[in-house]
Amino acid sequence: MTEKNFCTPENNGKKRFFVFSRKQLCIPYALFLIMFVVFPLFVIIYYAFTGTDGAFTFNNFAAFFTDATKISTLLISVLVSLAVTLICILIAYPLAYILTKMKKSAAFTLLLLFVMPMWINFVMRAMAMKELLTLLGMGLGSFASIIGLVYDFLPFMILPLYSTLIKMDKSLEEAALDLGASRVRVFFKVTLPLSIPGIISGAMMVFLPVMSCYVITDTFSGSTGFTVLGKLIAWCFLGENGTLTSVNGGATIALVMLIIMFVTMWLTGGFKSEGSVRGTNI
Amino acid sequence: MIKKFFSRGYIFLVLAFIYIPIFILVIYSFNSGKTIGVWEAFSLRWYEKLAEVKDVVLNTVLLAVITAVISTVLGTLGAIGIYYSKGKLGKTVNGASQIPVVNSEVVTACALAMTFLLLGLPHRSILGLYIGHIIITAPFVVLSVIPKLKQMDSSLYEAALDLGATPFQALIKVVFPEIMSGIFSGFMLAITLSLDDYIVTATLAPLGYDTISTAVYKSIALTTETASEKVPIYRALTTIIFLIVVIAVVVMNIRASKKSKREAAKMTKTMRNFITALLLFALLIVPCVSIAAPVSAAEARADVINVFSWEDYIDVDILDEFTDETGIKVNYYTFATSEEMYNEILKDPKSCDLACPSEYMIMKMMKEDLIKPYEMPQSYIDFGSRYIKSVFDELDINQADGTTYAIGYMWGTMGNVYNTDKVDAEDLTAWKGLLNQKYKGKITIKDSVRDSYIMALAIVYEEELNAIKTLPADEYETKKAEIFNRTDDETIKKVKDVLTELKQNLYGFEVDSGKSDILTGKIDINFAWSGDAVYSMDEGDAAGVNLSYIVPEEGSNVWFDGWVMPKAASTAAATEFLDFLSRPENAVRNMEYIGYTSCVAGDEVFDYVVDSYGAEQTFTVYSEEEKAQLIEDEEYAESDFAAYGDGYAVIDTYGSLIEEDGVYYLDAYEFTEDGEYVYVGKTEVYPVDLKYFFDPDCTDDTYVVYSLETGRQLYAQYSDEETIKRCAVMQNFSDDALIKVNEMWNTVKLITMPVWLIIVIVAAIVIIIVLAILYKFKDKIIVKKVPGKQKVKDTGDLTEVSRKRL
Repeated sequence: MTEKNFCTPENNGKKRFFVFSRKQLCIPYALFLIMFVVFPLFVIIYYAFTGTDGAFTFNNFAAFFTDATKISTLLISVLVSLAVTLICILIAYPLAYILTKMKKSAAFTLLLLFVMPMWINFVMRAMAMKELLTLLGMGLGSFASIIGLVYDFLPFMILPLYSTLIKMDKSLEEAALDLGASRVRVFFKVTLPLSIPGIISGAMMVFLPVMSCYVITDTFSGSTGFTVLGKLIAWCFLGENGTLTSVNGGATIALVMLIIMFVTMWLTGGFKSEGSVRGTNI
Repeated sequence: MIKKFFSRGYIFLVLAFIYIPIFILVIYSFNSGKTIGVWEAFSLRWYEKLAEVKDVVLNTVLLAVITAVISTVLGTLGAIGIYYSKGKLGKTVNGASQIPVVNSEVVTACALAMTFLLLGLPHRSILGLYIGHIIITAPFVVLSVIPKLKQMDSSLYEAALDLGATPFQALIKVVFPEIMSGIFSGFMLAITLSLDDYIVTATLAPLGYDTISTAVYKSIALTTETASEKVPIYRALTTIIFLIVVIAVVVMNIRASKKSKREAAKMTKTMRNFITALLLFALLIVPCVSIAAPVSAAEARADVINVFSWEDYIDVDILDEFTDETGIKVNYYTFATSEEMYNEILKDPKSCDLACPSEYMIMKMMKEDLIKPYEMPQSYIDFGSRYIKSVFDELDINQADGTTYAIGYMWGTMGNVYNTDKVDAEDLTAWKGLLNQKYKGKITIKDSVRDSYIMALAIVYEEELNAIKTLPADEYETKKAEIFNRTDDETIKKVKDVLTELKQNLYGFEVDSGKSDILTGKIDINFAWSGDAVYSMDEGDAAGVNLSYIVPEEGSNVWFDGWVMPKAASTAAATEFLDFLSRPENAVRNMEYIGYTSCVAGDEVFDYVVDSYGAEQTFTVYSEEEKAQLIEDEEYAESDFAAYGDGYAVIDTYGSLIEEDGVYYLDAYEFTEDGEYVYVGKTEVYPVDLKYFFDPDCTDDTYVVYSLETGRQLYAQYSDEETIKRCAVMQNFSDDALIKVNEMWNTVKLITMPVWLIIVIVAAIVIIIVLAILYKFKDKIIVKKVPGKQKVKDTGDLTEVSRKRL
């Protein structure tokens, strides 16, 4: 055991058949990812481009894009996701802003209060909201679904916004004020632009999940047929008694969803801002 | 001051939005009643019933803990590997690790299911479920460990090596302690994520394997009722979980604030996480263990039977009386659908001795050999309706050797309840009346694929169904059954078209709300089960809304629920229970309690029907000779008789029956208070022949009743024989057909936007995307123009961009 330079590439493998290095620790994880994450993505593509007989075809896509009902559902999902994201930002931004102006300890306690429901199962939270709506005598439907979605996703928006705003350099705002800008102007010219990364990372935690969160629409839409794209995919697997229905059709929609994800991610640069996901930093 | 007031107020409002629903849930978990908004009394009964969901809680906790442990090991090692391999390997693995984080869970889960499928493995399995959960949790462990590695002084590891430690020792003794807090928070996060997951579990878990998410989902989603049996139990469970979360949060913060700040910075995160973890487990597991085991083990099998049935589907006193009489205890479990009963029996055939699924599920269970034939209980042999028995014979539920796979419990037809003041009865004699534009927005149909399918079938094959009526009885029967069980592709397509058209005419699909909506006038026509129709009409009578029930000419579905015994059932005790249940007096009580029609006949039932459902007294039909004899004995006058069928009918009350062109009138007399016998008037009456149901040997005509109204409660409870002849039993769909029919039904229910709207929205989205792309590249253009700023690459670094602009 005289060698010290286990990790330098030049020495690797020369003196021994197997030399331990820290890199190798990721091999099991890498294998796991290849088998169960990367490979399945190719399986989606395979199924999306084959018919039930296994032959190559574009029919699945043709069927999806010519079906007014499915396209409607796709568009409704996009619109609903946008609406929910926007409402969450509108509610959470002022809140996060107010919290940053408070004493650290008080803000921390309040923040905890806001994110605490995240540790209760989200289906249970949906149940709570549904029962409140029943109590208020509100009918189920698209409006109730949006309330349910906002209720479910709001905490995810508060966290990233707060952590961006709190990290912001306060002296910039003060400088702007000193230079004679009004408070409103300071907000729009300094605070808001500086908090855009927070908004984006918050939006990423709401926009895409809403599109697949059919549990909430199933719970709140009653029988109005209001649903999100995720439901269409799920149908392929959760038919009556959990039987498979149309794997190829499901793969097609899953691929559409993947594309939407990549486009959104690419446009917003969201790949970078996942550090603060789901309360990692609490 | 005002500013402060507003900000406080705002915080308060958002807190209220977040917590009011939870508090309401907590409060109502202590309510003895089921319905939210109706406070009955303080009670802990739902907490006592938590034992019923202990399996679910156990599944959830076990899944979360095992997943979190594996994920933490895999993720921590992965993070170390990624962090220290600066080259391509690290980047690639890190990139792949991000996929499950950004990807939607439904795609991750379905991709995995498809992979299993491609490899020829079952797409639902425990192993698959655990893999799925590890996929969605491990990347988060990586995400929480890597920052700690970044914070760590990298020279520490090298120093350890220099001092003679092996790389392995260095890792264990130096690196791990440094990143422990990251590992713990990763572990906690993995637990939280696994506990919170619905989609992966729903997609990959074996059938019948429920976690909290899926179990709660089943009882709240896809239904408009919130008062189902299990919901109050989940309220109690939510309360407990909420309490655990609160305690955990409070404890970890007290801990944090007690320590000095410097110490806190170093230590608390680890401690906090550790304590939270401990607390979460302790508190999650303690209730599981403490609520365990009241049901089965202690009691010997023959003294107890487990019954699977529907909510409110038996008069509860009957259960107690049965126990008093026989000493056999009945555990009564309720389900929302036949499918749930089926899944439960499939999962654990020993779990139940008697189940009460609907007709198609009985046939499915027979086919799959899940249930066993048994000797009919004596009271059912004596009093079970002749008609129901003949239906069961037809469907081969009754066996040639006298045993049966099921005995009937409740039955009925499907038809339309309508408001007679607003709807012309003529319009509803055919099912296509539902498509009538006159009633646009005033109709609801059942949110149930089978019921709606058969109704649409009747519209599609209206002509054929009417044409075959001229065939001989046997042929008609066969042909009709064939039409009502068609599921070929073309039929499904036609049904889809009809339902799509019908949807435009609807107020909505309903599960339970139709009964009340027709009373409040929101709707005028409700496609309903006969039992619910009776309920609606009763309520309508009380509220002054005139409702009627009609089964259209083409025919309809005859449905029934029957008692089946799974293979492992204790036959003797179960048969005893069925014998008790099939006694006419108990059948009457159940009919009274449930409002549906019992499959049991018998004089008690008949008397109850005559008393309660608008039937005036009975007809008696006599033959020619009997009539002559009666006139001779001066019991009746010639004018009292009216021709009825092959004989002559009289009424067992004062007055005489008159027949004119097949329409019957009653020339009624009655005694006044003074004892005078006065003529009341001539009214049209509707004779209903219930021989087909009540008369065991069909020889006597005692079971003909007349009512003053038609299409009312009596008609809904016991339609006349002619109506019944039009109806057929829709059998279980084949697996293949079921998939197609379900897909059709699901698509029909979805919202379809008009083409112009689709185009507008697509255009708007394209514009937004183009603008976004332009915005993205605007930064690049700026960067290119200003030399020396190439580092700014994309909007991810917006902070920098904006800072520079300032």
